[in-house]
Amino acid sequence: MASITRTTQASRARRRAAIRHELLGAVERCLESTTFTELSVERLVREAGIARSTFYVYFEDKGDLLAALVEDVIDALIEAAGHWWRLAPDAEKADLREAMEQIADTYRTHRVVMAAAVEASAYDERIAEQVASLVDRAVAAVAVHIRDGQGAGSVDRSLDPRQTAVWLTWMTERGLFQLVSPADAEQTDRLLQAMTDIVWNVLYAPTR
Amino acid sequence: MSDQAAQRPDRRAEVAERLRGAVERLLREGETYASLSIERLMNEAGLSRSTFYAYFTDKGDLLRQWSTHASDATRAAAAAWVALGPDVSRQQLRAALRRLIGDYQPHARVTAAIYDATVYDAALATETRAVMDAHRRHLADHVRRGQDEGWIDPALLPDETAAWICWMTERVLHQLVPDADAPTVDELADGLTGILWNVLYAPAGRTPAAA
Repeated sequence: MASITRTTQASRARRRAAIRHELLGAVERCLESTTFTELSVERLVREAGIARSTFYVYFEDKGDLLAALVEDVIDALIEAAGHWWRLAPDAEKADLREAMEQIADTYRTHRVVMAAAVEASAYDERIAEQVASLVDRAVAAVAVHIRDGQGAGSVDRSLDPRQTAVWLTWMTERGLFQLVSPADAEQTDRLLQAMTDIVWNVLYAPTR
Repeated sequence: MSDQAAQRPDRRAEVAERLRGAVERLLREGETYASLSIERLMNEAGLSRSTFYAYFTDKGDLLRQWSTHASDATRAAAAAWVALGPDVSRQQLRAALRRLIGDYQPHARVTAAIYDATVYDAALATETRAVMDAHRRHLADHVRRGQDEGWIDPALLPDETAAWICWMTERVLHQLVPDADAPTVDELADGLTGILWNVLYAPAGRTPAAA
């Protein structure tokens, strides 16, 4: 009995993941012309080519779907930011720039879902908590990166790791959303240069 | 009639101020601006529902009234920082930033609600974008002046650097400052000082103790 239940649960999870993927495409297409707040489940399922009843088998409501999509994006962003946080003590400015590009690329790939998350977090507590958890995880990881770098002599020892991490993380979160998301290729290039210069000057330059 | 009409803008500002106090209290209790009804708002302020509609078309309109007020407050709060010049020291920077955060704090909660509302209010989004652009230009001018006079890192892109710093500051002021006690404000000022000192002034050879 137990193994049948497990199999059923596993296949349900797979099915939910497949439908989530279909709906992700539909959300991205729909949000070209409307806001997440105004988007109806009706329009969403029509766009995805699935039955309304199927939607409700796997998701409680539109917010539940968004929460699932945001979860995936958060994992992708944390993964991309690892390119920065795992930089070796002898990393060069070009390595930092490359890491910042990874983060920005990931954000741009998922910008529709992130914009919907920012929008919905104004009124949906669950989404607000997800966004807050992304920031919390990032602050913790940046603080560790700073502390490790201070130990290795590659990061300015006069900085408070936690406080510096708070400001830099919020800068990244907001700047990606407000500045990088709508930017064209040339603007993005300049923005990433500025972001790299800021992080380089704050953390590493004083030790070089 | 014409007298009454002439008094209207003042009265609108006055009512907006009174409602700001009421909204501050409700937000502190955990309400969100998006879910707040006009009924509840006017009850809290001790005013009638019809008073609201005499001066404002909707909650977004009220936010727009506050927005003008708040951007003046921000500009005043940031003035001591952008006025710093060639003899800038880390202590002066710290004092200016501590003042910026402290002066902004009374406005932070309601302004945070304004920025949250920009995601579903297009008119408000345009307005806050203009406000942020003005801050960015002020800061970019400061960076350019420092680069010309040799006390800010000449390698920085003034506009883009200013843009990242403005959004960084916006976010922390709105996310963390409303609930911050005095020691927390001190810590935030220390954090921001470390960042801005290293980004802007230290690479141009300013030493922390420079007079």
